[in-house]
Amino acid sequence: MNSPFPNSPFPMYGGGYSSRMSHRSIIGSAAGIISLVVTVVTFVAVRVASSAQGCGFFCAPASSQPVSNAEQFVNTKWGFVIDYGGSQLTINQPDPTSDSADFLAEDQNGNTVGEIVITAMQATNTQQAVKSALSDFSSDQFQDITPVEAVPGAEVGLIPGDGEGYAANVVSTDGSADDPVGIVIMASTHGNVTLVAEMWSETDTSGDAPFYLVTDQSFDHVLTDLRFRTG
Amino acid sequence: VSDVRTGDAGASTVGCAHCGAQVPFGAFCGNCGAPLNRAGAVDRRSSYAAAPHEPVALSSVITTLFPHLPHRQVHVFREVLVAGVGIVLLLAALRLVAPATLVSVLLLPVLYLLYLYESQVYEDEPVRVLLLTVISGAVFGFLFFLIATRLSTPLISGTVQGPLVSGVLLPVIAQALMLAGPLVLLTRAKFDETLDGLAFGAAAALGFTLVNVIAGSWSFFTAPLVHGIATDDVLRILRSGVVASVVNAGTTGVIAAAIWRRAPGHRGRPGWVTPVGVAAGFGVQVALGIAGYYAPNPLFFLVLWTAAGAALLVVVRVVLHTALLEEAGEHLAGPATPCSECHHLVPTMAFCPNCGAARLAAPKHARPAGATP
Repeated sequence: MNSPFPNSPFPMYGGGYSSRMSHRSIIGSAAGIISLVVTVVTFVAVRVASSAQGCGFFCAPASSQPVSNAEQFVNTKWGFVIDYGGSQLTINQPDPTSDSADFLAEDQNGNTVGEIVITAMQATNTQQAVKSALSDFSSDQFQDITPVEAVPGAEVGLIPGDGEGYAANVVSTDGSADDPVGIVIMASTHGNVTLVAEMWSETDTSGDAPFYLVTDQSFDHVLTDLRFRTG
Repeated sequence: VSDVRTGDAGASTVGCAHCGAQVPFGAFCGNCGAPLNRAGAVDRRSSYAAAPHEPVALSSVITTLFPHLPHRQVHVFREVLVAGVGIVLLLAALRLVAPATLVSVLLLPVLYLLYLYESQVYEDEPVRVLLLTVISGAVFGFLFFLIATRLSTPLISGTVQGPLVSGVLLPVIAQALMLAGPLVLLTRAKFDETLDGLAFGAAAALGFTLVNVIAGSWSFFTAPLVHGIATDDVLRILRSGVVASVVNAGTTGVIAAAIWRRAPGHRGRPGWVTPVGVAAGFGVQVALGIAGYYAPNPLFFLVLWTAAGAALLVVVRVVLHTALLEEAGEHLAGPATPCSECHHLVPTMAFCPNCGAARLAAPKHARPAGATP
């Protein structure tokens, strides 16, 4: 369509109405600023990153401390019994008639640093149960989940089974808080019941705990002392 | 009486069917912005007042969040944005998680700083404006990181606090913090245009998002440089970087713009625009917070955020378009000056008679004297 108005005689840059930046300077500035910040922040982050490499799962067993303030959870629906240290774990799902038991691990300041959930189901393939359980982890909370290795000698309640360990980052729903965590899932079948243990914990790579879980000892008590339904 | 094409009103004028003013003959009324050749289209939904070559109902990041940008600069910013997303994808595919996250979260803030300089939204107070927008947003972003860490405890199935705190309370707190700095500028008489509110809100939100994401992702940065699963990383990085920047800039921008237009002394009229703008901004944040609590997987979450961002951009455009038509006011033809949008020499009026661009959407340094009604 022909305009009744003439084109401006002024150049786009440098006269009349002028842009303050040319196309080239916009592209150059954006690329330069982003490159500079990315390089500096990455360099600083890499410099402060811990280079300590622990022994991972193959560490020697840590000397275990006796469970303090012992408490017991009895599931009446599936008949499993869990002994746990009330000083280290707080029960989050105490309903004895449900399919699961949920415990939170807290540090000395009362902050939650881990969780272990024991879920019962009809006997099933334990490898499949471990794989399926990974989807229980909220994708908004647990991100960047990376398989580490199968858990050698995995057992729940001293019943041999299957297990898988993962590394991940836990993020709150708004995407703000973020910490590296370890995730371990194990499953064992006894009689006609399969118990799946799902746990996550903040990690401490300077230690020698399995999968660097800072809560390994309190979780270990739960898993070792757990008893399936008898009879 | 001389030729209107030189800027002197008088000779080739025509009566506008919508506002009744005698205006220079062209495609648009220079007084009210209505098309002169189409009766009944005063709201000109097919011609967005800040970028007349686009319809109002369009999800365009650059022409929506950067409304002062002249047409000739739009494609450059758009190409930089697209190229930046491409670089993010490349870095993530190479499992360079930290650099990919940084590029993703820096892309829009850097473009916005260039935009603020290019359009001179800050007028003669660049330090004050940057302190109360980008810098205050960054400080509040870190504060929110600390608050959220305290208020949110993760569980396998969500959070200990449940969806009310994690999905409603925290997003509302975040949105309020993003608005805090820009609202101080509301008291400055010189910043009385709705587009000022949008620019300040968006700038504060981008500073907030930048620092919040970097603080929240610090463990990714201190991990080995090459790590992670490429697919998961791409989804997470795009969502928490580029897409979150657009969404936060959109929600904060639309709320600030809606409040700005109805502030005392400003020219916005009563009606549905301000309530809808404020409700849309907070509503999108809360909806995404609740959805995020129950999101089944990262792909769904990314798609949801992208869809919400696209819808939000349309709401932002409706608010801005309405405000630009309202704020133009009555303005007689002034001397001929080049239109920053179409680059034609047109009489200085509230709207370019040739392309219909609102003069209030021109870069501030490019406005001829007397262009602002």
